[in-house]
Amino acid sequence: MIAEIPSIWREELWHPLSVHLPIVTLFLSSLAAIISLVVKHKTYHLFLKQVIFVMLAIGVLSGWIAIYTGELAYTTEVRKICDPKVLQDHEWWAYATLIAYSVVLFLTIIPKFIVLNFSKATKSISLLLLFAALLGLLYTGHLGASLVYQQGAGTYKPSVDCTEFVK
Amino acid sequence: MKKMKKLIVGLVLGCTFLLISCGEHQDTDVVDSGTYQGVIVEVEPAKKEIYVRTSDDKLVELYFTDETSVMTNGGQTSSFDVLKENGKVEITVEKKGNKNVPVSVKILE
Repeated sequence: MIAEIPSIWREELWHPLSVHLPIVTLFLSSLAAIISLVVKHKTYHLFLKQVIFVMLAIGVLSGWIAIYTGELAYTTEVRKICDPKVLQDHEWWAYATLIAYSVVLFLTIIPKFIVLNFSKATKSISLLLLFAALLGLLYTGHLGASLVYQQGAGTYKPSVDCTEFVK
Repeated sequence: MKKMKKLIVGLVLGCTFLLISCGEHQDTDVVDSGTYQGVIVEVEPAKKEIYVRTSDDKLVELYFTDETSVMTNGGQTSSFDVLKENGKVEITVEKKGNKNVPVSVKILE
């Protein structure tokens, strides 16, 4: 019997489809924050501030979508992989990282609506969170890579003779 | 200053609550293949998953598969929906990698 190639649109693949945009944008927001620490030129500093905000806004919104698709994939993949603890760690770190980025976004947006007397402190907290969240993002990505490349999560293993791919 | 304290405390408490409630991070055990008796600690219908505390105090996490059978006390075949928290069960599991795959769950009480 010839095996059937599974659909590329199956539910567990919505996660890899949606997760790369937040990875890139959140990574760039943290990177821009780190660079802004050493850049003193006013124009460049303002540009980096805008980069942080835009990347953060896109990253947080798409990040929560990725969390949702991750939850969908979880139910299927936890039954297929050999070490579900890696998946559970991946899930926990994803939440922790995205919560940290969401807090930074919240702290960035809130001064636009409410006058805060402690903007210096919120800036320091935001910078600290952006750096900590970057480490979380890298570790979450590492665990995700481990799930795919070591345990084959979400992947299809072709038959030995590849007959299902014959055209 | 008071405002700031409130904001920080609110954020820390909110984030802690979110982190605790999000994801699966219970300290579970992986036991050898075999049959164990225990009590259902938690049932997660959405994930078709149960946590069982065995009589030797191990917390086993079980994700049901299409092959997992559920049986009543009288030996009749039943479904996942009848499993309730605090219910006494006898589980037969297979150890595969770093996980336990449930073969059967028998309701004792």
